[in-house]
Amino acid sequence: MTQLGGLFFITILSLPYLILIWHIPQAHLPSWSEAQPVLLKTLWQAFLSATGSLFFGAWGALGLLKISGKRREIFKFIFMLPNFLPSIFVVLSVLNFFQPFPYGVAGIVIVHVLINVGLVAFILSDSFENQLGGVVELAMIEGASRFQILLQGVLPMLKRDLFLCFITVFSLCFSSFAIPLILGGPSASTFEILIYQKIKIMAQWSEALSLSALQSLVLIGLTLFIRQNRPIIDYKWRDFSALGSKTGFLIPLFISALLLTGPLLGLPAGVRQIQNLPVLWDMFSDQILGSLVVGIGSGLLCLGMLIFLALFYPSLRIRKILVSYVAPSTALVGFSLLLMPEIENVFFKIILGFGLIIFPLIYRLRWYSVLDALAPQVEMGALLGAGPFLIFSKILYPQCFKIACRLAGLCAFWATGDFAISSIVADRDISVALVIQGLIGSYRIESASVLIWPMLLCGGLCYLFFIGLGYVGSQKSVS
Amino acid sequence: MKKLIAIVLTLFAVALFYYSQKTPQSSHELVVYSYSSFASPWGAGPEIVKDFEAENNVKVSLVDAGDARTILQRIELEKHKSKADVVVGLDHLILNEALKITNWKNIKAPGINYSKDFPEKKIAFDKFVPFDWAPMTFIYREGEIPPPRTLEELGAINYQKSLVIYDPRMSTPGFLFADWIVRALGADKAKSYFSSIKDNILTITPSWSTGYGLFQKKQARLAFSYVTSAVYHWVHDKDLKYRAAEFRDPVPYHIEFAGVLSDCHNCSGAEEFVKFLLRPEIQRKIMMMNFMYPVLDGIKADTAFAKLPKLKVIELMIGPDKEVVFNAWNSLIQ
Repeated sequence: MTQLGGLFFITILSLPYLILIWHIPQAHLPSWSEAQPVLLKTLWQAFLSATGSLFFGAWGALGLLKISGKRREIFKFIFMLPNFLPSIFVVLSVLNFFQPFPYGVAGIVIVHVLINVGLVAFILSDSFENQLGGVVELAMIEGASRFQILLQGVLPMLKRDLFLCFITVFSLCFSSFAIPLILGGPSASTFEILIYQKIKIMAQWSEALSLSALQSLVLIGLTLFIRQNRPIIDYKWRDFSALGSKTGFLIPLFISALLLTGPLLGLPAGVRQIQNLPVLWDMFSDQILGSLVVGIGSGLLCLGMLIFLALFYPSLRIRKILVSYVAPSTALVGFSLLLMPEIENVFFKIILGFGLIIFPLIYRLRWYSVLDALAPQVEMGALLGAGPFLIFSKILYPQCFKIACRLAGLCAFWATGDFAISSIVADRDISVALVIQGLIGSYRIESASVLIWPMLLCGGLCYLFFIGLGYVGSQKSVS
Repeated sequence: MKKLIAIVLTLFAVALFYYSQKTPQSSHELVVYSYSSFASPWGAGPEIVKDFEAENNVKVSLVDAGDARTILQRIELEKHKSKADVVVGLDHLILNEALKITNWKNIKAPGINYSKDFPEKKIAFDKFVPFDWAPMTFIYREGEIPPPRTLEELGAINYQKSLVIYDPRMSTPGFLFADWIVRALGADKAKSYFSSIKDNILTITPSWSTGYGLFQKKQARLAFSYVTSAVYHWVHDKDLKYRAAEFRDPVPYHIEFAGVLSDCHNCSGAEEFVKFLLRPEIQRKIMMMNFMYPVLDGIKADTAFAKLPKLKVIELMIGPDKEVVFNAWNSLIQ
């Protein structure tokens, strides 16, 4: 049952690959001489970006430990904002700040780090809270310094989570498209650009597919280094004040403030410009609703997939396959959805496409660790004769529903800002993100900077909805 | 909290159901695939569709199918299942590919009285009808930088870190720039030319919109764009500082075409729609909302478009050799 469930899940995730393989008549491999230099360049920038993001993100996570209660949730959301903004606004904010800007690998790495620090802080603060147990308190009582706690307590206990975070950011930067091209200077090139070139210019679908599979191979190679120690999971309130860092808190806060200056600076001119676009207001409620539908729908799909995995609790081998799986490039997923005329509703298509792209990332980011942490309890339950549904309802659901909802909220937040899948699949501007893209493409960048704010609001509402769902769901499990 | 979650979930289900209600395509409905800026609510598309529907008593679905290349790929993937009757926005660089991918109907368009400066008026287009065009040049802000007049000047020291251009692999204006250099200098000299202007390029962006956005935000001082881009700023921003550089060398251009698919469902309506695009009043709308030159003569007179510099354009740009262009471009990116 669990094996079948896992295999079914992998088949669903690899649907875009399967559809495209079905439709592509001949298999062609790209020439190695063409792919190799681009691969090396991309690997290098992704490695540097992931290392920088991990360092500052871990620092940021320590900063979050300084804050408690609801305020921590609010700051987690603020830290995530850079990950949500369209790349043009990120670039504008950065170019305003760094004068002269170091175009090239350094420039790409700086911006990737700025974008991903908040995400790493968000995820690692969860790991700190739930996976360190009472070690920090004990070490404090024993008189250990913060540096000692970090080096001899936190690092060995969380090195697996840190590595998973590294791999996730690495994969994000590896498949980054616009930032390397804009900031890489005249000789910029990345693997994703090569894939795009194969699809768009050369119409060489099979080569693009092979390159996408090669991306997966790189990730599989990295996942071989994941250590198989079993993490713990702990929900008791713990005092982490000895670990908290004020400067760590200020780093992601400063980054969020910095990257929001781009859309902020254009606000006055944008408001003036938008007053001359009455047509925008006529359809605005539809697009707000569209953004919310895409966000909530993607979040629910993601939540469903996370719960499905917990319910069928796949074997370690399948869990490891999932952690190394990389979704094909956005363009490939988008076009594979166009090959499914049976699904007529564009919202379904966008939600499905976005879910297929984002789920592997969400899984790698946190869910893999959560499932592994609960493995001893699941094994014990099975040994005592409990079936999968009983194990799920009595062991897994109470302990991981809240985390699943938080991850679904993250997915929903990202989905409201999606225009990559939406622009391929949608036949009109169905969401605020698509309108922003359209405005940028028709000289109206200032108007776009106004619409960033309602888009952020939609993302925030979707995120809060899932946080609330997690709260209600976990209360129910307690009662 | 529980009530709120129940309300949100119910609203979500209702909204999804509402959006999934699709009326089936009737034989009278006309489906037009178009590019984003044409189909957007502030683009020319919705207004043209409204006029056409009123005059012909036909329902038109204007589908935003991405850029010209994405439209073609979509048609290729959909094959005979495509719902499209008309495609609006193919450019002259991909007409040959369009002919290879699918079959197009011959259009019996009336004799078009082309504008005197329209570059391809000698060609009899039987399958694709041009409906707008614009020469390409560099746009600058007066007083910020002296405009270049020749390709040679573009490599001068005073333009260091000033230019924003676009990757030709991803952007049509980007390809037009690279193709311009190859045509003007020849493939070998183009390679050394690209190397020589490297220091003057601030950045190469994946799309015109991103690059032009950087230029609008004053990060770059020269952006490769349509000569007609300046008019947008004159009309909408009331900013007369935006100018089009008057190159002495012939410059490239961008023409947009409309065509009718052989597998059309409403073929007569489709042909009518394409011809409709060439009506003087519609040409005026395209010019004012798409910020491109009309192809018909006499439309530009007494408008801001008449004040733009008259640029000499390269002869016959249809069917460029992409391999040669990309090879030359590689010398810049390697």
